[in-house]
Amino acid sequence: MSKLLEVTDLTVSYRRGFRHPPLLANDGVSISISRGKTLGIVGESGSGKSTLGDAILGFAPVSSGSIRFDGEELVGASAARRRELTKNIQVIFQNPYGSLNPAKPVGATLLEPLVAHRIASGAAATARVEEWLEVVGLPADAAKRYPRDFSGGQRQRIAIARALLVEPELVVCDEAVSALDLSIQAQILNLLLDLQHRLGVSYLFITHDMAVVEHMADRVAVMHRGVVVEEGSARDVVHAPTAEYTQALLAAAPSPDPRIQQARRRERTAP
Amino acid sequence: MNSVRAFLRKPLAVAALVFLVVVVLACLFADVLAPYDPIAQDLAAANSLPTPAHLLGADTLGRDILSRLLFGGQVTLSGSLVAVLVFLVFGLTLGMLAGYVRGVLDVVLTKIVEVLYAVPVIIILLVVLSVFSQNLVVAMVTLGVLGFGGLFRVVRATTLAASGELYVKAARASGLSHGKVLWRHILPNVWGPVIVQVSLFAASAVLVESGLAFLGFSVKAPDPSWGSMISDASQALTRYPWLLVPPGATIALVVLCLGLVGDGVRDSMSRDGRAPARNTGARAALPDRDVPETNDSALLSVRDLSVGFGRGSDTTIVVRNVNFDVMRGEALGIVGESGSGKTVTARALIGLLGSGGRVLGGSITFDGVSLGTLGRSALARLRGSGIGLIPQEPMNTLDPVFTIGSQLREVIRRHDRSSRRASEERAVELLELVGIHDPAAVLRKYPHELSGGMAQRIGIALALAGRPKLLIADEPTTALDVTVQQQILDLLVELRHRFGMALVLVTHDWGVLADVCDRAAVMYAGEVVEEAAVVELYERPLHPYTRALIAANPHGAVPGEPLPSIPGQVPPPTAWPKGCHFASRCALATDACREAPIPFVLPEPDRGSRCIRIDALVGEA
Amino acid sequence: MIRLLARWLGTSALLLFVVSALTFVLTALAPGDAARVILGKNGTEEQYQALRLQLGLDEPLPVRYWNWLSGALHGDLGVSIYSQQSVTDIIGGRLAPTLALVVGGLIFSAVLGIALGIASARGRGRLSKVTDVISLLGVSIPPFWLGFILVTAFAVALPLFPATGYVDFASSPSEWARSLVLPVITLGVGGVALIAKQTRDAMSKQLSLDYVDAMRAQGLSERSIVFRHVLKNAAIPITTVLGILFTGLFSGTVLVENVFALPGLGGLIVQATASHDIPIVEGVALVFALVVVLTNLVVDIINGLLNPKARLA
Ligand SMILES: Nc1ncnc2c1ncn2[C@@H]1O[C@H](COP(=O)(O)OP(=O)(O)O)[C@@H](O)[C@H]1O
Ligand SMILES: Nc1ncnc2c1ncn2[C@@H]1O[C@H](COP(=O)(O)OP(=O)(O)O)[C@@H](O)[C@H]1O
Ligand code: SF4
Ligand SMILES: [Mg+2]
Ligand SMILES: [Mg+2]
Repeated sequence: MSKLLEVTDLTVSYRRGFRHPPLLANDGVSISISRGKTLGIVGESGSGKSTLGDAILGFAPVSSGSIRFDGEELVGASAARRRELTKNIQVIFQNPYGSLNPAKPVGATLLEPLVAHRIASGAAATARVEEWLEVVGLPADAAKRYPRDFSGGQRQRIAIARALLVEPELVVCDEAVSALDLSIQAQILNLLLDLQHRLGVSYLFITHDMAVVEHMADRVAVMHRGVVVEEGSARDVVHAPTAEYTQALLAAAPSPDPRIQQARRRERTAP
Repeated sequence: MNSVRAFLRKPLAVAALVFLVVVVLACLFADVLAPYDPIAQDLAAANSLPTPAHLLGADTLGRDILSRLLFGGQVTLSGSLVAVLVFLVFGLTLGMLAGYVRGVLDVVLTKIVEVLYAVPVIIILLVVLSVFSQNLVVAMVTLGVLGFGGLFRVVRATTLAASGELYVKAARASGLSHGKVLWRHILPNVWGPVIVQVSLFAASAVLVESGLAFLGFSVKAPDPSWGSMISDASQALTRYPWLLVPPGATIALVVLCLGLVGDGVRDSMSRDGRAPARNTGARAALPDRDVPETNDSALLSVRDLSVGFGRGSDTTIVVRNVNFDVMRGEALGIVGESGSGKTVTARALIGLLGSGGRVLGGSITFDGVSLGTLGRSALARLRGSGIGLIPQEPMNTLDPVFTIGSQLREVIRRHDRSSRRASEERAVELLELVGIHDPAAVLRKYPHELSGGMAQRIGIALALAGRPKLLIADEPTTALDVTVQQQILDLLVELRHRFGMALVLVTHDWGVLADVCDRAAVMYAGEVVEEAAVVELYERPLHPYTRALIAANPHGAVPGEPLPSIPGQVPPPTAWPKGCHFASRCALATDACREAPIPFVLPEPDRGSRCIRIDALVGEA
Repeated sequence: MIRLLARWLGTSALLLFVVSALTFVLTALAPGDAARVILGKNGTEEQYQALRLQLGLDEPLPVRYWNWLSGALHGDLGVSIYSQQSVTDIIGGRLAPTLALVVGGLIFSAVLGIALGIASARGRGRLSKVTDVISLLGVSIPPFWLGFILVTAFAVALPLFPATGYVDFASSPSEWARSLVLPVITLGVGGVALIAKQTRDAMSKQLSLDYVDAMRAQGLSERSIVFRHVLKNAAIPITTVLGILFTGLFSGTVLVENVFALPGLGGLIVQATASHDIPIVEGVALVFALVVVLTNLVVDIINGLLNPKARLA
């Protein structure tokens, strides 16, 4: 079966005024995602993870390379086609406080994609919104309330509903749980996994947390300075990393088990 | 809609708006309302003070002042309106365009506005009037053109900020076109600032118009305008000063009211407009039975500490009955989810709660001395020398306009009272201590020239300058990448051992806790729910929250399987229940848990827990 | 710093060009012929022709502007239409009262405004409200009206100061000072309001930033925090506003000099405007534009010294 998404040799550069050379935020990145599967992208801040997600969504200035979605080339696609494709490629951002317009009731925000894609209108659309609010675990009257009435975790549920109610095939989750507390993070991760099982959606799951990526992803790509330094099954990358950078990253992430962590510290700092 | 309601709650601004509406309507209908012809002279009434016949008196030629004010207002207000319309059209369209399209257009427009901004406005108006004699319309159009920069800047900045918002990106990802995005998501942000700017500009337009009229560049005598009435009045200043009052006061009031409306709109936008919720859980802090008095062998002993924000009956308790001890040289972690009160607790320890925050009860004993009995200045002296604080956002906690050296030396001199030379040497020594390889160069740098990790090392050096016995670090590595976090934690561990310092480390990260701390206090909804040595805590938690939180960690869970998550969410301080704060999410909760506050008990030596069903918990395991 | 100066140079050149070219463009745009407008209905044909020649109206616009510009670069701003005196000389003779007035106004508003601003930023609540009221009133009262009120109170009812007129410093320093008191207050009140509000806002904003608490935690004294650190940071926006105020005060002289009959530039340009003496209007406008340009330079330099980030830019 062919891949849902295939990114080949993607290069994205940002101009930085005339004094500096352009910044290569993505430098020859190649990744692929199968249907219904999750590709995790890990790396430290500034490594180009969000840029990759943005390029797939059509928000980043691609200078070369190819992005094939379901066989269709996205690099150079027209703005109109891009807009159509938002039905198939959706996104969930990190900051649950910024990604919902504070001046609009939640229902209005959720109706937007349905109306933009002429999927439903009027009562049918409203019913669909309410149905999705229930799916993500919010009361139906949430539609009438404003984002400020919700906690961070609840807002992230709303963002998930907005992304998934057009039933996309791919969702870019850019640090979707990084701002959440542990107990809420677990709820959201469970929700995302559940939806994947039910809908067969694929995730590009961007995070800087090794434990989260191991839990969520089938395959993992590790990024460093705009380059994929290692790609493999989640298990291999986390438990038997080959790239030096991946090893350093794993070594630096502390374990919550004090015995393990303190043993690691002793080992590391012993002369 | 909320901001409209918030505006209506401001009596002064509403009164100002009403006044303006009345003035505008009165001038508009001057033909009907004015009791006299504004230029009709009645020498018998000349120089009359206010009388029933002439409500505001009459001028030196016996013309009725009220009538002149009403008709004069037509001139002044219509002139100002012209300026405002030009201002609005240019400022709004060009500002939104520049902010949304960006690129070259933005650069060019911004430059033009920068030049317009620097132009001396009145002078240019005079230049215009010297050529177009007595043509106030041209002058007011010019005023609008010269002034639109103020609106342009605000609209552009708002548009720029709004289009950078994630929700705009999300709307685009939802498939909305540029036009729709502008209309639905950006314009609603813009119109608030626009009203503010328009009212402020209208105020200055009224002032400028009447100033020009005062100088004689408006209507020709004998027709009135507000400014020319002042100039007429000034002719009779010594004999008949009353004449000054009506036109001057009218102009001042109109301008004042425009300002008040502008301020009112701005304030009602900045606040969310909701009445603050009352604290249902606010009650006197009660001491816990089971906890012994201050521990004399401890370096820091906190008992029944409660902290609230707000005044009087509006006080919201956010930290309640916190107990813990820190032994000399020991590292205590305060761990919990955001909003649980970790930062507030840490800041209460050094008396830096900020405005509105105060300690409501309990005691803090440091090194044998109760901090409650120390005066403000003694407490200030303890800061830095007894207790050092390592901040969360290292970059924001340095003064941007002083060099690192200057800031470090100032702190050193404060504590050591040493000479310039000695403090310079100590500064170098401190930087070497925190692992900076080229201290001399770093001392000359400004904060913005540092990386995040470097800035945090400086933050640590500043905290060490007073040779404290206790370091408090509030999420010192949360803003950093893991590899940099590891370096900073290594440094903290090393320094602590080297100087035998005790450490209170605030974190939400169980990995950081495990890495650095000996003991931990777990906070939930303003309370310490469990305290124990970190190994014990992790392996055998004695509170349902601790246990559930550790289980929810994806670390070591079976990939792809649902994580045992905690249902529901943390109640905010305004919604704390009477009984156990965790009861609504606790699998073991019974009615007893909900009835009364749960005491902090010591189920085992050196362990504390705020749960009445510890037995059930242990039995389950 | 270099970038800042280059930027300043660009803006300044553009500004001076716009202001100086404006009269030329406007005369071309004005309905009818400028010479006719100036002479009004009573001018004879000879006068009209002579004036056209003097204004250079027989030449095309760019040539006219170029002639004027090359003269201006040598300090020659042409001659007054009425008195035939050199514009440069007329302006030179009018400079002193305006400078005295503006500098006095700046000192008055800066000292009072900054003091009030600092006090209300540090004091809780009440003083801050007072500042709010003062600043709202201060910018609402028309300055020319305030001038007459002050005259009525302190020159007529209570004759402490002269109502109008100007005394040379050379002839009597004390009378000179007395003649300036009311004008300076009239001119400066709006400035006090502006500066007090800006200072208060800038200080409050700084006081709410994290570094202030961090310094408290390091044990620094409140005095050092407020007067060394917070004030220096707040000085950056305050300097910018002082610059705006300074040029604003220059414009304010147009009204205030008329109220107090001071023989300065503000009065000059108003008279010239009323009588369409375009060369004088043009000359004074140029002087004002120069003041703006130089003020911006000073502000840029001061801010560059205060703000390390600007210095690098
Ligand atoms: N819109 C942009 N303009 C300029 N530079 C950008 C932009 N977005 C990202 N960058 C730069 O690209 C690099 C990679 O950023 P990003 O993809 O956001 O990394 P990550 O998501 O891994 O933290 C960073 O150095 C960042 O500063
Ligand atoms: N300045 C303040 N005014 C009012 N409430 C505050 C203030 N600072 C903190 N709080 C409240 O106190 C509670 C605890 O906050 P905090 O100690 O910052 O939590 P944590 O550090 O654990 O994330 C929160 O509910 C927060 O809203
Ligand atoms: S007291 Fe009751 S509700 Fe609270 S944690 Fe213990 S068992 Fe759960
Ligand atoms: Mg990112
Ligand atoms: Mg905190």
